[in-house]
Amino acid sequence: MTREELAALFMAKAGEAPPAANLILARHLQCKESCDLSSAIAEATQRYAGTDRTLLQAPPELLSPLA
Amino acid sequence: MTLAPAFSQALPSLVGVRADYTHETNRELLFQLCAALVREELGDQNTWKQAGGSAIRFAQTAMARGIGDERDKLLTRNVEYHLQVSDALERYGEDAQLGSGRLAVLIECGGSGYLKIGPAIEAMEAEAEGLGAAFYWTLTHALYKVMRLYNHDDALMYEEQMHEYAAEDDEENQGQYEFPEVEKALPECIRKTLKRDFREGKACDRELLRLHRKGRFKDWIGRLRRIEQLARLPLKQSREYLEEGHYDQPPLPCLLVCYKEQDAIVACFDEESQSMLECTSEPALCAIFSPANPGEVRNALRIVARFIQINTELFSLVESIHEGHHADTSFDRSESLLRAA
Repeated sequence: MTREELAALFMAKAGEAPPAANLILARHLQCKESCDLSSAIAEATQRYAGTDRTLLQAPPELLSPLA
Repeated sequence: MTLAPAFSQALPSLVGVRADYTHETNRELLFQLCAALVREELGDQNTWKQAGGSAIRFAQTAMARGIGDERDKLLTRNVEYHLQVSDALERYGEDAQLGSGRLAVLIECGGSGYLKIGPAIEAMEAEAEGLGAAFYWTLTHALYKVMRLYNHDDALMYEEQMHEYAAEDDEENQGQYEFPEVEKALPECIRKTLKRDFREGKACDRELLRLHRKGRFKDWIGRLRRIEQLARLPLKQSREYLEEGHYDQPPLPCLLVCYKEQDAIVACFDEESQSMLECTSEPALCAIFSPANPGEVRNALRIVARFIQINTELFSLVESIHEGHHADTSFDRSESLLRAA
């Protein structure tokens, strides 16, 4: 493929409609509530993972008791 | 040893769960950028093959190829730069879309380089009086045009600020202030020329450097001359966008210039760098362009290429100075990294 052909391929792709999965992700990234939720989760993860003061409680229905 | 019995609900299965996602917001801009990189001969069909159909990977590889392996290694050894192409710029601490089919190429500095120039100044002064100062001032003024430095100027300003704080503070607290005494830390030839007439000084420096351009320090003077030439024309950055961005402070310094290990300038830098990462800083370089406009693409590439060339010359000079004087070849750059408080 020559440079001209490759450049033309990219320009054709630039004109194509984005895939549906892309649109869903893009919509979430542009949605304030989605972004706020992901920031809150990321912040909470950092806060709890960085200290040994507070441990996140594992939900009881997920882990069976070892005793 | 007793193993816990298997429990079907203990761990959810990850089979069938996608481990990664690639999403492309404004994908038309990304593909236009890829086409522009091909037109500028930074990427070809091999790059596209290596990228495995990912436009983002193609753009990254093409830009890395433009920088070159050797230059990349040199810069990575000496300074921490981050290059990114984005469709958004910071506004009031948040990303805001540039719109109108435009992209921004940004270079941000995450950790400054380090130059201990004292031994080099001393050696040049021993060769000819004023040569060390001429070298220092010429390098400083050339770099001021293209990047932020942390040097004696910043340290002097910091010291002045400390004196102001002390004067404003209660009398009983005043004894607790420690002043770095920057002027005492300067080599004599720099102290003597600190307040000279700029134009006269520049003419003298140029003459001295010209006289010694074929002498013992020809390599350093040659590199300095190239830095001067490259910095002569201002980098036509998109300043208006940066000014609208309401950043808290100018770019983080790309180079710390001191005279001795742990001198007053390093002490001031250590103090000031504690808070440098607490607020938003302008990028070291910013150029806005439309990937669909070949003229704008070429202009943005020229700006980035010149910034990288200047840095390549600068850090080659830094390494040569440190090697030449067995300064601290074992210097660990991470020690000078800007640190968050």
